[in-house]
Amino acid sequence: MNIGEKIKGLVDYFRSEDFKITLILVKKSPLTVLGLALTIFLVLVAIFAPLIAPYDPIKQDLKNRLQPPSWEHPFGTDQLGRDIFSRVVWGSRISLFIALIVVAISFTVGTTIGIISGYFGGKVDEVLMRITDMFMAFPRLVLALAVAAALGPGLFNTMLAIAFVSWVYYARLARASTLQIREEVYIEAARAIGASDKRILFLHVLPMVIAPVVVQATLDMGGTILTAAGLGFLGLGVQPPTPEWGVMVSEGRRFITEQWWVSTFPGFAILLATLGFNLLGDGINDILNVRARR
Amino acid sequence: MNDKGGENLLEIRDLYVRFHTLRGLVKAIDGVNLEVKYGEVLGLVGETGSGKTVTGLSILRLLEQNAEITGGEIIFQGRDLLKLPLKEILKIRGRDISMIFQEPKAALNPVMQVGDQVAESFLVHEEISKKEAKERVLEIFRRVGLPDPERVYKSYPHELSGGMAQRVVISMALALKPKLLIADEPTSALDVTIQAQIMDLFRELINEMGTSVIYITHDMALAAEISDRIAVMYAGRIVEVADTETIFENPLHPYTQGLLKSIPKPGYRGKLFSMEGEIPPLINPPPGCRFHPRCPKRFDPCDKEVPKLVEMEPGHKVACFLYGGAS
Amino acid sequence: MMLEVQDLKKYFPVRGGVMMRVIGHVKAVDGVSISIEKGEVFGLVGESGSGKTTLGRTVLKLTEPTGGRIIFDGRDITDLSGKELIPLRREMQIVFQDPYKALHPRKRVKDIIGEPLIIHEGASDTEVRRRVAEMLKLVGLNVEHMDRYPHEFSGGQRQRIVIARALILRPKFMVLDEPTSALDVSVQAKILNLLSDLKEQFDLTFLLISHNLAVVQHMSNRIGVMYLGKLMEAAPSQELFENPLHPYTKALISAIPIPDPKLAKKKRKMTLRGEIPSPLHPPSGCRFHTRCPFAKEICEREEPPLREVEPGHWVACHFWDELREVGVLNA
Repeated sequence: MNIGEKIKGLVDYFRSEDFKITLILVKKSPLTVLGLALTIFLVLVAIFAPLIAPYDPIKQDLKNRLQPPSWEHPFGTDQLGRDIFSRVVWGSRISLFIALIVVAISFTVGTTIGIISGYFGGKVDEVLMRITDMFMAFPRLVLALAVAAALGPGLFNTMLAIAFVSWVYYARLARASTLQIREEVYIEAARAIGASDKRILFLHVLPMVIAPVVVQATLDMGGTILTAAGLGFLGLGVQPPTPEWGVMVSEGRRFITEQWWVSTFPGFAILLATLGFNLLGDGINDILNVRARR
Repeated sequence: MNDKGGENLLEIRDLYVRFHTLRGLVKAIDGVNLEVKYGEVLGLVGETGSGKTVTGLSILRLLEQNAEITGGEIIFQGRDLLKLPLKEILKIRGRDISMIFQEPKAALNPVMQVGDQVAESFLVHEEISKKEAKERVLEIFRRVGLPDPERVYKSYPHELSGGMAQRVVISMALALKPKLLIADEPTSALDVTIQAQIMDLFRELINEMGTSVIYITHDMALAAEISDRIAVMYAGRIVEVADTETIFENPLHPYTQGLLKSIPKPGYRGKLFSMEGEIPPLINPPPGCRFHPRCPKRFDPCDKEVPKLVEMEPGHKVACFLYGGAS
Repeated sequence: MMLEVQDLKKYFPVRGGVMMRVIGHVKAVDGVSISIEKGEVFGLVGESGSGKTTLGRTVLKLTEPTGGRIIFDGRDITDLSGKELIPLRREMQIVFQDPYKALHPRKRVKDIIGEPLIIHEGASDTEVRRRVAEMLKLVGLNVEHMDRYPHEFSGGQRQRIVIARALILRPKFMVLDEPTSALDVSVQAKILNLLSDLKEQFDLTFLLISHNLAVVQHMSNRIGVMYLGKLMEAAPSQELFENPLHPYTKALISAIPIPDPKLAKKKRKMTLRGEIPSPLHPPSGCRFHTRCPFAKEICEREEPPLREVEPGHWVACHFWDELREVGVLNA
């Protein structure tokens, strides 16, 4: 299919009854709308960060350290005089970036492994599942900590660590879905017309498996932001002066009684971002369930 | 049989049911009038979307959440079932009116012994001990031809074959000797030779107990095997009612005629007759007579008015402008 | 000879116990031999556990046979596997029972019908559109339907799409697995007529599988009756109906509801007793003996061989001759 057809396909979809029903379902659930709004808001802030942030997030201004929130500094300043509002705004880019990359990697790797495992079964399945079992035996954060500690701190290593432990959940989900789908008649039909296993896996099974996996991915975006913040908080993730929210919360710990704004605003950002993705993920899940029953 | 033969046990008058779906309002039942006499078997025949199942479910108020009964009465033993509180309907279900469905195993609780499930019918509606209930269950299991009733009592649904499970369901439905049994495609999921067995059983039990039956099916021929009268439904309305022999020998409604001609008959090998068009969607049904877009005999009034059921000869009613039916 | 099946067997292992070892076999098809001439419609009738569906799948090599041989158009395809099977798919195809399940819900009709073209001929998008349009017209659908999704269509229309997909590469042989069982009577008539027309147009050979004898006898030249993995009787269609020799066939015919109350009254009732046995534990001797109204001691001991007792008419029963007088339709 060429670009023209793809665009036409998209336009057709938005005009279709199917889409209208999806819109109705979305509107029926105020929480989903809220989740969607928060997520879009986060993305916009991240995209337009340079335009929104009034100050340089890294430049220090020791004369102005630990100022409370005011008109010039809506979120106050931190211990190095940096405007917290600007740092939170720029921090959205970091968090979103981490979330996107990590989820993209774990989603791709996990789903591929999952559908292969589920479709072929047998020894392949057993081996892959024992491996995922090993990973799942540990709490995610603990494992990510261990990997991060082994790799060392930094943005790149943080992403690697989280992705390393996250893919297993996608694999399990994709596998469960695949086990059910491979029994369907239309899969047998694909075999009957001569489709190879590879073709069936990626063109027939995958499109059906995507739905629950996408829900997981959306929820995971929030979870990843939280985990990255956790790692940052513990000093094993992104390093200062990069304005990552977790690092910011951690640095504000010392001032929490008197200068509450240093930790609170980045903490609040973490909350909103995670909440947005969670609500959106749940909403998508509900909508897909309703449509599946139709 | 019984002395009330000829009188109406159940009367459905002007029933209207619609469903609220995401796609819009489905006008599933659009003015249905039907009577079931004491001791008779009425075959309710129709294809997909005819409304035959919805009609059956309406009687016992078993419709889904998004269904709305917007008009009509269902008179049973002098009372309008549609106006009764749910409490009263619960008393009627299983005792005065019973219903059985296509998939027997779907009607049975998978984690409960089937014997106990049938016993429940007795325990809910009558004041008897558990031991007594069990005795009654074994008795009725014997009556419906289940081999080794004691063993079947202790079985779980998945351990039974389709035919046996359906016999259990029939036991449950007939345990309290209801006056009316609504059977919705009770044999469609069964193999042909098992179907024959169940049909035989049905005939025996109905004759013995004098139960009236509404036998819902898409299979005209199957309806003919058991029904005294047959009502044909199309797209939410009754199009023809007559006794069994008449409807096959002298079908009046073009849909009935088309339906009969479409059935492959043993021995005939030529092209099958097929009606033009398809069953219409019930969200935007055709105006006037819902069959008119497919009718080879349509003429002027057909897309403007809805034809009423007119009695052409005693017991033979048809809703078609070819035979009057204009208001 | 389009298809020759010799002593075909298909057993499914049953696993049980903690170690999931093989504890038995479901002998779904247990030694069936059939031959189908070019241009013929061979009807295969049976109930649950008869093995007819498994036979249909095995003949197409959608599942591996456990024993026997399959000779398709003169070639022994029994041992072909993997890549070798792909070119075969151009010549033999299948129409499935449930049109609501046989189409991928997320694919457009164009992609569903056109996929065989992409797999076997690497066709371009324009080419696919052209050929799919052609196919849609042939099966009685609108060309605009190409860009829609399966859920937008009725059962009858979906089955047409299934048929279009099966025919797009112009196969020689098609297995029709209960092609109309999930459809309304009026739609069934149309689909059966369509299949007849297409058969003539494309010079096809059919293996028609159904539990519905009326449908089978209407379309078939010859009919085989299966029970618990074995062939009980095989004969030309008309002959089977007018002169059924096997008690099971007679019972099947007796069980068909006849849409004619007067004729129905004349029908001789031959209701079988008991349940259909499980294919895991088929009865000894003649598999049908447990339900047969005429079974004698020998039936339990010895399995009757399938013999040609009259020209073209095969039956596996010890007493076919004695039971000849037991008519069904003209009792």
